[in-house]
Amino acid sequence: MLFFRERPRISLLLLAILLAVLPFLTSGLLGNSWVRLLDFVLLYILLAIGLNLVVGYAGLLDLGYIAFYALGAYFYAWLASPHFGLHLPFWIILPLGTLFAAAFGFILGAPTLRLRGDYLAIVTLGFGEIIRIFMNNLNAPVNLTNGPQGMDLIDPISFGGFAFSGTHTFLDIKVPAIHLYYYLFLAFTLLAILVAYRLQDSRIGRAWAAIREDEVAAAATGINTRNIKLLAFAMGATFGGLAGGLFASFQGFISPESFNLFESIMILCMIVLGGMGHIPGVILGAVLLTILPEALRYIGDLQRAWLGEVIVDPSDLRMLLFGIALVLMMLFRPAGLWPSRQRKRELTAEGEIAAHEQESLHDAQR
Amino acid sequence: MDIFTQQIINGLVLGSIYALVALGYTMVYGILELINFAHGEVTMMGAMVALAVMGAILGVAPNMPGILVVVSGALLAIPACMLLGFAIERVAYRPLRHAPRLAPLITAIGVSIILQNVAMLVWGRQYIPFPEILPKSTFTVFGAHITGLQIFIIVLSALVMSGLWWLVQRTRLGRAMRACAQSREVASLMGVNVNKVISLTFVIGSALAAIAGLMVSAYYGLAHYYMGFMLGLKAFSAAVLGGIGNIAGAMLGGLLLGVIEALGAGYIGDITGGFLGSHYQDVFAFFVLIAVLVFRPSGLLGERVATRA
Amino acid sequence: MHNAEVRAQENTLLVVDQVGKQFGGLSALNNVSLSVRAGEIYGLIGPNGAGKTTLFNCMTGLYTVSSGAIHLNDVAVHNHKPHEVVARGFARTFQNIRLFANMTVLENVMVGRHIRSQAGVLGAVLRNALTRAEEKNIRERALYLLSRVGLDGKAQHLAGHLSYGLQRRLEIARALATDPSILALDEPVAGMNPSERRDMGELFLRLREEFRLTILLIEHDVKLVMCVCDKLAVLDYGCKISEGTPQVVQRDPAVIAAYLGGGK
Repeated sequence: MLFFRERPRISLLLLAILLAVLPFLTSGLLGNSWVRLLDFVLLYILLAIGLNLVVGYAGLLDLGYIAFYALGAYFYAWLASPHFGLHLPFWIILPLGTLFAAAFGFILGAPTLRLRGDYLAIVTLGFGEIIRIFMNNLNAPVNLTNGPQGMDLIDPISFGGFAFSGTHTFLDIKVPAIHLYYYLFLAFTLLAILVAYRLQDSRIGRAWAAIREDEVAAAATGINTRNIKLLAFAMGATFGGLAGGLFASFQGFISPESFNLFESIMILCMIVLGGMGHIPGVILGAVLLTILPEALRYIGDLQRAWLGEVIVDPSDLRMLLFGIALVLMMLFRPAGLWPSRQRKRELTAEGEIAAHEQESLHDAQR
Repeated sequence: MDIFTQQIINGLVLGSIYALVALGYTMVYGILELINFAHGEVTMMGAMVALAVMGAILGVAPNMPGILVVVSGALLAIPACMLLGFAIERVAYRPLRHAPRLAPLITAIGVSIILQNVAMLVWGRQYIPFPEILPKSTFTVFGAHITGLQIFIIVLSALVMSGLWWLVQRTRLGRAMRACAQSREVASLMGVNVNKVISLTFVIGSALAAIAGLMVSAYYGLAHYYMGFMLGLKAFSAAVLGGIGNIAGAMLGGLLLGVIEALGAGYIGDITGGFLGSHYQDVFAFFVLIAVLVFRPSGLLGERVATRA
Repeated sequence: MHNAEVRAQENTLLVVDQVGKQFGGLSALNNVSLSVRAGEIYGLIGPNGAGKTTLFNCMTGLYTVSSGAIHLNDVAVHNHKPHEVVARGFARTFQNIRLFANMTVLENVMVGRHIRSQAGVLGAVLRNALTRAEEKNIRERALYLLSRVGLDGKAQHLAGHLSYGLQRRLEIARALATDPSILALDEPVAGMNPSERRDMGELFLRLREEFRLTILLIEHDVKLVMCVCDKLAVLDYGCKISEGTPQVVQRDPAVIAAYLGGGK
């Protein structure tokens, strides 16, 4: 670790190379299904960073975040599938879709954000379910969502005539569509990371932190708490809407099943597990929790090998483990696996002592 | 006219169940200012345990009178849920009482996911039918049908709620609970064992939840590991509607929400010209919740304003 | 004193007109009227529970008033949102210090500049020249204010790690960052020893000069109040029972009765 820390340029370059060749490395070593997983890792990082704006920065618990993802996905499907016979290009749909999701964030947030945080939690929880109920039922009398069957044949992303489908060949290198999506998602993810970092170190980010720390003091210091919270909420929705649009184009098929409460909880878990408010932690959480279910599959194999049959379906175990992880993390490591220094202090009593100790250590070194 | 009466009756039946669950939310909130997300799941556990017990009894003694079977189911489910409620508070909430607000909320969600998935692992994903052992009698009131079960649900919840009211208003424990709701610090200075009161609040709320869970499964004829989620959300909405932290409010809110939901589901087709149908029933609680939060955040009977310094 | 007398000729800055505040059936403030002139240090004293902090909360938008009105520079500020009141030039501190404990000292003051700066999401993300310049100004202003209250060199410390007295000073710096014309201090020297109190008193006088402030001061320390205040109002049971210069108030029989527990 020290090697990389002392040579930031080189490590950045190495990281860039690694990210660039990762899909080829993965498909060569593990197969294309793992590249698909890689694409999902990036989508979840995007979602987790978006939710982190709301939960980690502004301290608002949003339990229906997946609804914005759903809105973005359906919006994309409406404008780029045979459902309405519309086939608009992605560079029109994605921005509009993010605005669409943000508008819903605004509508939901405006009445509820002036209230205490716990109300927001439950209202967003309800909102997530409501959106899903509507998606499930809006196939009659006017067929908007095609109900539980979902919508398919959604257009892939395409630049001019160049569509992200099938396999393309550049310079004799075969590049399947999932690789292309990897680079596209990577670009958006890096952009999201940049945006999140810049927001964090800005007037807006300071206001979020102030509200998270003490809302009354923030208001008395001149912050329009409702608007600033609403901004966090709408920004989070924007990220969700973007990820949703990307998901729809990538998957080519969406149905209400993809947007259940479980997904919202999973994204929340990523943040809590990784480290609330700390981007590297959030990324770590997203990577771990997207790959974990794949690893859990081996539990099924193990059961078969040892016990002769699969007694507990590993996919059933997944949610249980998430629940246990949430509770244990909050009890024993509330700042997450990779916390920022500030949040560590905020969320742990021991953190305060540790910080003091650290300071005196620095003093000693001087 | 008789359809209207029918919907009102259906609403009151459902509403009295909501009220029982809402009481659990409101009592805990009153004292800890914490939304006990896991409460809906406790309700579900009550139904599941009761059904499991009843199934076991019917396996051994298939000819036992139905009422007796149900009562024994309840007699085991209630203490099981009380224990569960006690444990949840001890493990997930008490260690975080002085942590930032977000922390207990997140553990609450964690606990509710754990309970849901434990139930799924134990009882499976399928719907579990409520055994058909209760006598089926139907009465006609003002042109509407009301079943014996419905009457039983309304009467029993009325009795339970009166009992709770008596407990809170007339007993030492009730006084201690009210004192803690005013101020935990002062109550503890006055010699109230605050931790004990909080534990008992969870225990009592969970007992009510167990009863409600059994009622719901009897009413709909089935139970499911996921049933606690919507029920919990609705009961919470009911508690907010009545004024969270207010016990009479939870009762009123529950009944009112039940009626709103029944009428809404009955007439939504007519109102929207067939655009929306009765499968949107679950949406009403949510809109009621939003409407209350926008126009009267303190609820119908609540005094406290939701935004506090 | 002569400086203050000159200012006293100037306009009235803050008018509290028949303000009442009820909590449920309980009346915390009863038709309280005050008028504070620009440049004054105006003391608000009274026994515990007399309604001093309640009045502060009404003035700064944390409470709505039940009746009456509050005007700052002839503009109504009662029943406005706290941030609107701050925007009009009314800043405050809290009796039980409310800093952003896990942010640095500098960040705390920079938050105070929020209302006097514009950068939005777009500016934050693009980090254009305008935003960078604004950030620089915010930072410089914050550092300057820290130096004015005696917190130089502490900028990168965590607010929560400061000593009690320094936290009080930081809260004042944060309030000053909002460019107030009137600064309301809620028991700013509570829990301090006599020499610290004296220092704070001098600080108030110095800040008034430098920032052309009007200061509202809730305080129990009679010595400090007599020393720095140009005018005093005494609250008891939510009513104003006396008003005037410290010397006048000190001799008012109603005040003596309230403090000695006689009268009622």
